[in-house]
Amino acid sequence: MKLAELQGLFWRAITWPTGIDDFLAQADTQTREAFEAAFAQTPSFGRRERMTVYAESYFWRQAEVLGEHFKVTSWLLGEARFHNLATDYLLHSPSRSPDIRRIGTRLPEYVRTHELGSQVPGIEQMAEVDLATVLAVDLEDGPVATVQDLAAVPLPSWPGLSMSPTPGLRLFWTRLPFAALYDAREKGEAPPDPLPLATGSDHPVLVFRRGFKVFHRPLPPPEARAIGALVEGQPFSEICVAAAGPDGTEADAPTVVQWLQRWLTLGLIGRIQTVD
Amino acid sequence: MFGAVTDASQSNRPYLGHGVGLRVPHYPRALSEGLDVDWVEAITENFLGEGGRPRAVLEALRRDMPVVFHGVSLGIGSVEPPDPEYLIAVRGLVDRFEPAWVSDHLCWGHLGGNYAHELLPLPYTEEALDVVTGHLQRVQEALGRRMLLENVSSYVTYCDSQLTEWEFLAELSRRADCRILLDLNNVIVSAKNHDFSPHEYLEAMPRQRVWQFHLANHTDRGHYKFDSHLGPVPDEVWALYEHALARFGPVSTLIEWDEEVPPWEQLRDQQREAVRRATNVLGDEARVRA
Repeated sequence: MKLAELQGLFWRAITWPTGIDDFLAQADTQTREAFEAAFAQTPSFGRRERMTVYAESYFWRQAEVLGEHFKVTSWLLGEARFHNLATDYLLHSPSRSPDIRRIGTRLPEYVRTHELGSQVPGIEQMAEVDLATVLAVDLEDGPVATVQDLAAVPLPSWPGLSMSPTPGLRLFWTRLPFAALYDAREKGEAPPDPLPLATGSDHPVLVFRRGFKVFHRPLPPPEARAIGALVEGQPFSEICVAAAGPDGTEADAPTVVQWLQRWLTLGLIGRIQTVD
Repeated sequence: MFGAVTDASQSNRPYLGHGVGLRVPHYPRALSEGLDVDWVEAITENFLGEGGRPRAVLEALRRDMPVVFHGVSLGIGSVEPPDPEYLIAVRGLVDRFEPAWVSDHLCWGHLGGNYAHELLPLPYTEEALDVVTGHLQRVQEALGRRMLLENVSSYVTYCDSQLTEWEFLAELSRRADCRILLDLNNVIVSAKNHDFSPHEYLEAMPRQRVWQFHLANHTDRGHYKFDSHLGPVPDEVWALYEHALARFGPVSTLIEWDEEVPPWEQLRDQQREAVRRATNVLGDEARVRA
């Protein structure tokens, strides 16, 4: 048998969702004969059991990594439901990267189409925030602006002031309170049963890395809108408009300046630029 | 392209002493006190990101000691060639950190652009030898250096194999002019699973091409052994290590412990035990010269 055929047969066998025995049970005669002709066995260690070592490892190893990456998602769903989700996902979207740390990049998108997406409203957003958390870990280290940098900006330049976020900073509006759930999991609590009711996208949460650690911070909606404008590259004047909200009263410019100082202290802003 | 390697260059084997596989639980210590071993082996794919703690750890360690990159996703024996983007990323790491060497596994692991993240066994045929040799020559060119290839633990062999694993690996090292990372635990695991003699395997290895040993534990599942990397190095592996030292002389040696990674002191004790055993066999030759 040619190497390409052998590897194709090996791959189909170990990635069969219900195991080697079922793969062979479902296979045609030609495939079963090819399987027997390809893989050697001994009296005490048959070829089916030998191949099962690889088949089990294929799913378990990757499902385990997905569980480690999607901490809140897997905690909320529980071990069995998450394992089933992970297995379905691996069948639908096998890893396309040599880096196993990237195997979950399409999971949030997949959850939307999975039955769990409708059974647990808001779970796909938990997966998005989990993924952002993992991806932030080893992003390129960028510059971090300071309060002194901001203080050096002349007052007339403030309306056109623009700021870039540090690498990995992401803002999400989620239907479930990610930050509170994350903290509960970290404390070793059991997931809420029943899950909190997801009523709308009203839980802004910020994901950012400071130094080597990735943080999740819940935000009040006006501050979240302001950060959202900053992430979009809007100038300070537009950040103030976003913070003020639809009726223009939710936050004034001095409040936004206070937030700016806090964002700088937290290391959320990479660069400060003025447009003359 | 690389020129032919002469016997003289083959004998110029660097010796790093005794190291450990770098694992996440030991990152804080690496950044604060450093790791008191001769060298570390870093899993290549864990450092492909451009920043954060992984890079900082590697930079700190590299200032103090030799570092080696050990990949798990090259899939040199897959019918499809290795991913060019992956090779570019690894080359970037190599240029940045100047590792003592780069290694990966003699196996296959990707098909149709999908990755198994498993070290899947190859049939030991002339066709496979041609495929691996061709891929390896291109990889070595892309990385600008010779690679080490490691024998894997396996649970399956192929009816069509024309060579033994040791014949295949020895011949590959000659054809592709690569080095060998001899994992002694994997030899023992595969010897049990496929009923061959570990000593016969070692005897077949070309002496000067063996540049590194791996030592680790496995799990005995009764009628077969499973490569678990959980727990301290067992007596059987230590015994083969001493035999290998007597045959190959001083070879850079690394302790692997991947599951339920122990506290640093326990891992370091394993490294010290490797030093002790190497000294018993080799005397002063086991020491790393400054």
